[in-house]
Amino acid sequence: MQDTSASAAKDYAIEVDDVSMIFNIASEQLNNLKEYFIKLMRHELFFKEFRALDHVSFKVRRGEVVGLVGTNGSGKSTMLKCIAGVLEPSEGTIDVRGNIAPLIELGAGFDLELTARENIYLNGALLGYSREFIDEHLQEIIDFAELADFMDMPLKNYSSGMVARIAFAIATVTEPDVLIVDETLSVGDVFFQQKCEDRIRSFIDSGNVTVLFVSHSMAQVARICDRVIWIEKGVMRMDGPSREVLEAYRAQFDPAPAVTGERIVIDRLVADTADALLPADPTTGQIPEKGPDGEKNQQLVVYTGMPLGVPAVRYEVRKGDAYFYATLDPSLYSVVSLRRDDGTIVREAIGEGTYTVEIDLADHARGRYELLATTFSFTVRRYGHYADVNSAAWYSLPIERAYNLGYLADLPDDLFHPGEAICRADAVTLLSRVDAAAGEGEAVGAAAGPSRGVFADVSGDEPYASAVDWALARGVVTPSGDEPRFRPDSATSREEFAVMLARLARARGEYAEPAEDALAEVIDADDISPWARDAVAWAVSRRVIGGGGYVNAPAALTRAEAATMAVNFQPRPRRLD
Amino acid sequence: MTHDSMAPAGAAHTNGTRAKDRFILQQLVTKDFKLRYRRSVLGVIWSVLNPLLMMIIMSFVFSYFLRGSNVENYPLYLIVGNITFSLMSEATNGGLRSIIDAAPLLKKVKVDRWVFPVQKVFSAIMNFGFSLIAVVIVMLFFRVVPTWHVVWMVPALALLTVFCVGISLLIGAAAVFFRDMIHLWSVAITAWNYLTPVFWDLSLLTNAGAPQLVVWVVKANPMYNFIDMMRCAIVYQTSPEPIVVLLAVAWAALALAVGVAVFRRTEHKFILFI
Repeated sequence: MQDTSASAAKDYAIEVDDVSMIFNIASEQLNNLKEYFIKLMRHELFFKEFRALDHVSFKVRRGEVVGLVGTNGSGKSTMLKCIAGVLEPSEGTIDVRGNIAPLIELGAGFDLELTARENIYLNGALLGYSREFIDEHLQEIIDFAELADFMDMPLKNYSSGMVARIAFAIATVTEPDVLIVDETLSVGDVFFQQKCEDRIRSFIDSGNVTVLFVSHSMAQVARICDRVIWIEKGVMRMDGPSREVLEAYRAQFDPAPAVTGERIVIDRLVADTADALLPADPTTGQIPEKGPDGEKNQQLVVYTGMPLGVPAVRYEVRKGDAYFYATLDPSLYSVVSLRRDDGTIVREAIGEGTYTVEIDLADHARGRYELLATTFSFTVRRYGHYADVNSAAWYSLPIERAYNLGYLADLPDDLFHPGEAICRADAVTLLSRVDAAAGEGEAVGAAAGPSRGVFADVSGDEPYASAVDWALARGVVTPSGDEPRFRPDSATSREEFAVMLARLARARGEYAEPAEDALAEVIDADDISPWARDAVAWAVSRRVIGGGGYVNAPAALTRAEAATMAVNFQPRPRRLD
Repeated sequence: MTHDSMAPAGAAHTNGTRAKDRFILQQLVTKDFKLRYRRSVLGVIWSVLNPLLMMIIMSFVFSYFLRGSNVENYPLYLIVGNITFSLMSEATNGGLRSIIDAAPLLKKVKVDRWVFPVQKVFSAIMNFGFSLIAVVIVMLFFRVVPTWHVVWMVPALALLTVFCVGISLLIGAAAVFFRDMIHLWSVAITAWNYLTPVFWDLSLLTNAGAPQLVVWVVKANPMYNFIDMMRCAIVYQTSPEPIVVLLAVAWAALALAVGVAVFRRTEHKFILFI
């Protein structure tokens, strides 16, 4: 280098100065003269300008190991190709001092008809090696590629792995000044990959080689590089120490706010329901019931058994004038305290109850983020109310929902017996709770008075007697015969329950005549008893029972199915909490 | 990599781009040559056999056809004209597709783009060299003894090479942007072949009283001048007329100037179109 300008310039192996790369994307492909001239005459030659790189500048010192990150299509590859000299930047200049070993796409110029030996010379020439150098190192290349026996075989008879080995061996036979490594470089089998990595590592460790490393693997970049340049949509977003840049880069994938340099204000906690979750008053530590705009404070509900002890916290984030919601990356905050309602600090695993959490930013996040809301409370509810309801079962959600809606009670030993048939006493109890949850049942039941004497088998002292009262008053069950019996312990058939539900709907004025072809898609419609046909048709059209396929009308209804039908019946289920 | 720490810096790589390009050119020409006759039984002999067979057939047919011409030693006249024209057509046809065919390479490594069209010209010259063996055979057969005028071959070949390089650069670049060039060129070459006195003789035109314009066009035709120089050296064994030499120089210079200018202006955009 006859560089007299300054010794400082020599310290840089790569200088990228204000580089832009503009591609003209033709709105249509014109590969033909006629089309071209016609368009030219009509002034219809329109091109869409696409900036793959937009005024990017950076310098890389000799011996530095720099990672290049960016999502797909961000301009990384274009940058690499510009540095490798394959592409010429539309604007700006790139200076690379020394020879480059571009491990971007190996085996450039390989001709499959030629033998491996011939290809080594051809490829070597393209990489800028001299003939003498290749003569001298031919054996070394062959040894590294471990293909000594195949040197005079045409490359077309090689496996792709073998071709790649040769290519890698040629490209790295000498220590380059600048090494460009693309992660897509995975050569041959595991053992050879290890060999390649060792060689690259030896270049890095030598300290003489400037390395540009491109990878989607953050861990790999963090391990290898001291410095990272982040390019996004053609623009350089960040350039700095690996840790900082990677954190910011990662942050765009995690919903945590992505910030570069400037501060970001994290304003307000929000619950997943998008309802307000107001922060505690910073001076008193009290959580207000209502916000400044009169919005009611909702508490974040967390169920036990959820993987996080502290719920994933969503924040309203303010950046300039823009607001957005983001989940704060757990690496960015630390939990200062977790307190019960009464203020005592919780140290053990959390059970049901209301808790207050105070969080603070982690040290490395300070200065870039600012937390306005540092305290919030959340309620932990038990998840899975019944020991025998597996959370993976189809009915776990409807049962959870039914429980949360107040349709189901706590049961002895926490056993729900979801697969067992529901007895008629429990069926009417369930329905009475559905009605009560809608805010109507109690008044009706009380007005009807005791049902003592209506059914021979209901004395009025049973725990379900009030539910039977309610059912009679609502017309959900109707006594029939001279000596009507309720048969509280009998199983409820699926069509029986449909009839009960239909009657309840009728009593609430929600009944709508089913369409005539409501049962058209039911395969076993013939099995439905005549007295239940309308009710089942209604249930199907209201989607209380799954339409299409089998209704299984005479079969006994299981407890899980009953809960599901009850949940389906509720037209607009209220919030889970 | 102990050997490297011992070696002086830069030993691995060629000194300067010129040496690199020369090595690449050499490698590419070698590759073309190797692949051309790989797996054929006669191999390189075809380069000799091809013009020879062509000459035999054509001289048989045309010696009846073109009775009016006063060409002596017609087979020699024919083979020299043929191989010279073939040199041009092979070189330019190679050059035409050279950039497009080098696309995979150009997308991967930094390499001076002009080497590809130029390499095709060199490959054609190499083939021409083998064809000369056929010429020697014909000369031996007809007992033609060369005189010192044979050295005119050197400037003739040099000028034709420059001309072909210029044309290859031009049409190679053009073909990148308009693939029509490929079809257009095959038509142009055929027409050009008929316009050039390869198998016929200029005296046929003048004797038949062709319009002066046509004669001028044929005489201005670059290939006429290159072939005439070549024939002067081998067939007529005289020095070419000054006007022929002058025109050959002018055409070579013009082709090179235009070719280089167009190539230089457009080469930066190649990568976007290949």
